[in-house]
Amino acid sequence: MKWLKEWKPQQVNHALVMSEQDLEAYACWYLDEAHSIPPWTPLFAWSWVQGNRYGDLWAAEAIGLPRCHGTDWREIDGCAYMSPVLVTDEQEAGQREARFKEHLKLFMKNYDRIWQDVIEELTAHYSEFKAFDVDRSPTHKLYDHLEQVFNFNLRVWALHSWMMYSVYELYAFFEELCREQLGIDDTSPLWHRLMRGFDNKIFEADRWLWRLYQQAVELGLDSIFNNNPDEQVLPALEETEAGRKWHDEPQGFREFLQEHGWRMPRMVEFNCRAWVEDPTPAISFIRQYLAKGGNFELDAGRKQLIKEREEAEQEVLSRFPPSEQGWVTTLMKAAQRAGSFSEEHTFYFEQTSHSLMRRAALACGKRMVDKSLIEDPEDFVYLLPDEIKRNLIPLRLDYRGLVAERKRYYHQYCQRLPRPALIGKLANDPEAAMRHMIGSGDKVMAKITVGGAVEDRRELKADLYGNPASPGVATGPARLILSETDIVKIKPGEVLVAVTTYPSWTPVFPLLKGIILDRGASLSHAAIAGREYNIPVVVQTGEATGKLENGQRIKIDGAKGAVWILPNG
Amino acid sequence: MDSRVIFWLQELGREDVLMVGQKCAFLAEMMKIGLPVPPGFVLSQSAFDSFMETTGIREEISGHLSKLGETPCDLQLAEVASRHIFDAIKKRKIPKGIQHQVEASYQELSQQLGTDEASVSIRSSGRKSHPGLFDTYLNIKGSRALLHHIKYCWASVFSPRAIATLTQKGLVAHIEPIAVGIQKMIHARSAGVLFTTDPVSNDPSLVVIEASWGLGEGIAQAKVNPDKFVVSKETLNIKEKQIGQKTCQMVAIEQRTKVETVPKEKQAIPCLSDEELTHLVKLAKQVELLYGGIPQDIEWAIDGELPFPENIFLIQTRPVVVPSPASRKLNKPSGKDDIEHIADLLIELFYH
Repeated sequence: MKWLKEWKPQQVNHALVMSEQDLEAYACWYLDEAHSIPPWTPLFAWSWVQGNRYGDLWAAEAIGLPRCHGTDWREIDGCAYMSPVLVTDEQEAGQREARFKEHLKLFMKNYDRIWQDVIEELTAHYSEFKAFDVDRSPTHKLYDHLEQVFNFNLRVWALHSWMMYSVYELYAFFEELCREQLGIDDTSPLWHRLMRGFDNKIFEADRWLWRLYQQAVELGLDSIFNNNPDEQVLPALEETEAGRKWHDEPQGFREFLQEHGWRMPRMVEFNCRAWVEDPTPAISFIRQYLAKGGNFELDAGRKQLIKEREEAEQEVLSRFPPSEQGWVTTLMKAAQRAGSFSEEHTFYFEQTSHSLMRRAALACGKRMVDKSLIEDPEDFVYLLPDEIKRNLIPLRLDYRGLVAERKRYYHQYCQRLPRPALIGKLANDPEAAMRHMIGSGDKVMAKITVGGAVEDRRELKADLYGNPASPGVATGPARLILSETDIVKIKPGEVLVAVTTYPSWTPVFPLLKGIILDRGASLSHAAIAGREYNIPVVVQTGEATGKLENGQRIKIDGAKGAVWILPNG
Repeated sequence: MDSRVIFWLQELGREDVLMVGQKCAFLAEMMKIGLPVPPGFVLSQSAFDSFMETTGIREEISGHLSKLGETPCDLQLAEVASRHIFDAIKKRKIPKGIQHQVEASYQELSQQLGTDEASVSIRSSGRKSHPGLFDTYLNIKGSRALLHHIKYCWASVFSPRAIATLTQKGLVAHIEPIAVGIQKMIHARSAGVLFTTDPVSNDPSLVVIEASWGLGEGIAQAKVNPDKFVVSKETLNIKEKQIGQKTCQMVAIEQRTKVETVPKEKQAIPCLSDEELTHLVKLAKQVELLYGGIPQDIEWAIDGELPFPENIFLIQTRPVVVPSPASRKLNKPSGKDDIEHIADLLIELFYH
């Protein structure tokens, strides 16, 4: 850990930057690999550790997580590290346990209403924020708006962790029960059949885009899509009556963007434009759908998946004694919600909140550019919130030097990969580190940071091994996506290869034949969406993006968790 | 040069569990502190791996398993597959390097025991202990027979039950490699099991012993009605003696074992003397201590020819299996609310 010893926070410093004291006071820090690789810009890193820390600690206390006071978070150069704060007093653990049990009962009984209430609270605030005119309001109002949006993000994280702890706990419990009683777990094809055939808010966007594509065909607009570069399609449509109709009518493209355009290609960053700012990616997807044609596979296949799920439910239930099938059904239904929740929560939590934060801070950036205090409005990502506010009223500090330095520092640390997965006292003893984490009983952390260990299956003679996440076999050319902005390059029939995927990517799913990820587990976005689109998914391969090349013909088996490179031609 | 796949028990310890399995690592540990364990050697797990790799049998097994599909198959199908796999393994030759090491070690053991061809027991030893799941072969003589039975031990991991669980994933690699322990055969006059806790009441102050005439396998297969003794762990007082009607016994003859009728006059008398009983309990207490006070389930045997106390041998030990919480309390009491029951089970399973 020589690198860490020499490391000193230089360019970015705030209260949640890892300190020497933190390293001593906590047994182990775990890298949030699922979200913070590649490393973030300074502002986003700040927002993530602030938000997650607040949310986790608040929620763990609110629901009485028995063995854990929640997770603490720190930043090291654009990456997040987390550590569970264990409950060490047995008496306290006992009291929390009683509280937690009551919470789980309440949660199971009222899940639908609780989730509805959370959505209402979030959307009420979001509509207010969206209605605020960031560009034309006076600066003191923008200042106030920035405060509100950033503050509300803490509430977003609190609700997020509260829901996640509860939902994941029940999912993990049902999995444990199945492992113990039936010998299946979340890498089993039977489990995957059990967990699919459900709709969620994220799919609404895919379905809507598909409808827009069909309308474009009906209105004879295909040639406009096909004969213009993506960024000129909208202006060209504006010039025709049919095009305006397609854009402005109820359920048209404008409405689509208002509902689903508050998303950035990388859900967890501030440095790329949301679809509401730049709808080019959406246009590009419609063009891809035109090229592919056919039916919307999600809906075409859904009936079959539901039927298969019902059969899987019967199969699982039949292996419990008849006297126990009642409560097992209740638990199973609670566990089945985890997939849909896991997907659509990102729509209500991260996607919208992050794009609203970006919008507010970007508006501040624009005002600084107007006074030549920074060069590019997008440079706001190199500033911390206090620095933005300090320079908003009054607008007079020249930040160009600061931004240039920060930018240099950011590009430097982005090169510093890979980052250590574990740091602190247990860093050299991964098994002890895992025990420490499992001891916290925090299922969210276990599912996200670790994923399952991948088993040795040399007999398959595959080129890559991972964990099965959605069954099926497919062959096709590999498409590596290392930067979110590249997702528009995906062609129908390709197999997506990425480190991880975000729900904001789902519109590409109708085009794909399979998905291979470096990271992930059964509740990863690609796993859930892949199961619904009925395409094979292999997660946690560790090295797919390093080993596979664009255009290489590959075969993927999602039930076995294996990938083969095929001879070309 | 082939890497070494054979280790003598006295070379090993509990830290070698990943190499030689739990059964053998525990025996080695017991031997270390001078407990009476029959001498012998272990064929490590890597020999199993090497057999699977070099003979191509892994692919063949994959083939048999893939026919079963992804869904958990019924036991009948698994039995067919298991039989095919067993036959396939029987047909393959053990790699030369391993074969030579086995032959040399067997010869050495025979010499130590002062004979040309020692009679040995062969037991599989997995990373975890699976009572009754893997096979044991007794009274094997000669290196040819020994090599055959090593393969049977390897094949035993592909039991129908193991396969039925496996096919959920359809993967051979889910089979854990096993080691094989080869030890001097104890021609037992009496044998049985010993628990350093009362397995029914979970009272750790008691030691419970079940004993029968002949080889221990009779009790393991629950074919006889054994003697049962309960001894106080602390005072070594015999608190209870139930003499069973032991009508048959398993004995070793020639190259095999057979079940024979116990002579009438021996059927209803204790097969253990009080002296042997208390000595056995003393040994068991040492074993329990060796494993940090965790109650042990010990197999023992009493040699028919050696004098007391050299006649007492410990054959294996494993922690007493406590039923897992979920299977213990899975059933919902009638009238209890579903959600209440789920919450109780969850807390029990995850937090206790």
